[in-house]
Amino acid sequence: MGEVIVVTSGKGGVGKTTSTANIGAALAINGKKVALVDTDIGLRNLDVVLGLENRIVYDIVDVVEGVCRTKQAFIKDKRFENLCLLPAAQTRDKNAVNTEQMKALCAELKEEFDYVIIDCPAGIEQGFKNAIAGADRAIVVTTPEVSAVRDADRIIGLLEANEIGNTKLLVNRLRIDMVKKGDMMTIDDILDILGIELIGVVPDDEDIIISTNRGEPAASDMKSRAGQAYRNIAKRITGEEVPIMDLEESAGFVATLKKIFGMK
Amino acid sequence: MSSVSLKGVKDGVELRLSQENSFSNILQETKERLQEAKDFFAGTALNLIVCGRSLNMLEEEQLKYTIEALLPADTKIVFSKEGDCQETMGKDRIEGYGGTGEENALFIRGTVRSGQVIETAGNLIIAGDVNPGAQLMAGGDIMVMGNLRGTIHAGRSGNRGAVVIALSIAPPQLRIADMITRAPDKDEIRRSPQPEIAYIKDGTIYIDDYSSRKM
Repeated sequence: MGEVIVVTSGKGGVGKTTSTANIGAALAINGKKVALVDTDIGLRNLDVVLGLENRIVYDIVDVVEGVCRTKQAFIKDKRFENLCLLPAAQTRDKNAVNTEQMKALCAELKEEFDYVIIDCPAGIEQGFKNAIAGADRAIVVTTPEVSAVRDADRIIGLLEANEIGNTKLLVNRLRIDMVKKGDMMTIDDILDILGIELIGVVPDDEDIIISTNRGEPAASDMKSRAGQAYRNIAKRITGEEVPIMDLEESAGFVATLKKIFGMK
Repeated sequence: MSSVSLKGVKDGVELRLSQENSFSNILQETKERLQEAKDFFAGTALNLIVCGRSLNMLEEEQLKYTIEALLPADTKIVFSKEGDCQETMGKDRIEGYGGTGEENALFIRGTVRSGQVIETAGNLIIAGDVNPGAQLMAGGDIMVMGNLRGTIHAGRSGNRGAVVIALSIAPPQLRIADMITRAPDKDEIRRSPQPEIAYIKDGTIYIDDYSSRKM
């Protein structure tokens, strides 16, 4: 029996889809059977980030409407044999699926996969309600910005109200150089407000933009620091104890380089 | 809190009934309460005033029957008009900061998060933080055993004596009774290591260290 994890944030653009893709890829690399489900109907992206867009035949709406069998709609990732994607529909909207259908779908997927990771749309409307309906636990993604933290707080409240426990926090796009100068919220600032357990910190990394555009998850790039952070998060999801990565060192190095070349 | 209590007043003894709870519960509790007090009232010509809850005729009859069975025969039973109770004799009212001392308090465990609204006619106690975007409203005092960063309104029934106590008070907006104050635009909020208290004095809302205020 697998586990259903929803990746959510409230605010848009903080890295839900990127995190879903990378956590999924990292879990698959570790030999887990993983299903990624995109519930952002009408604004699907997860397929693009994974580089699987051109292989979509059926989507989540086809599955819940019985147009096809669940298996038929799944796209097997060419690089990670343990990774499957159930894409969202692009021509429909969030109301094409209801919470009961999502619960049934999650229950079905749990039988077959070790981890079912749900990419939640931004907002707190129907799409959000669908995404969390069948979830066993949640990862809340935030960036070190006041507005994103505010929305994360709201989301944590809603998850609690829906009795989804064991919610963990992923802080994305942290810039340690800015934190040091006091221009960015620190991890402690964020934890002080949200009061939930941290599952990982992903540094702000240009490579992520490049890999996202190419459709290759950074988690498979052994040199990428963000990729390393996601691999650590995947390990923590499976219950392994991994210390939070020390971002200081290399950020300090980059900052020094930048200083030498007069970039600021 | 029990839904039936006995209080001594000027004209006799009041049997105070709560407005919550079903009538059958009230009846049951009345029985228990009078059973306990039976010996105390023995041999006195008792004037029992029933108040706190408006009753219909059938309920009055039932209650009367219950009382007569338990108290001395010469007990006089009066039903107060509109269910109003009188001022209690003696000092069983705790004068806090002039807050609504006798109101019930709503106790919430855990963090109150953005978008969550907590509203009560009585006092409000939160064992946790109140985050930005959360809203607390109370008829009486509000106490937060944590950091207060949400919007709050104490003394909403118009009670200017209501206070707000928290480990740190830094809300964007603070309302007590009919008064509103907001946080300064610049980030000049001082961090006090001590619990803080907000109250109205001379028509202005003040926020002070809790211990510096004379109780």
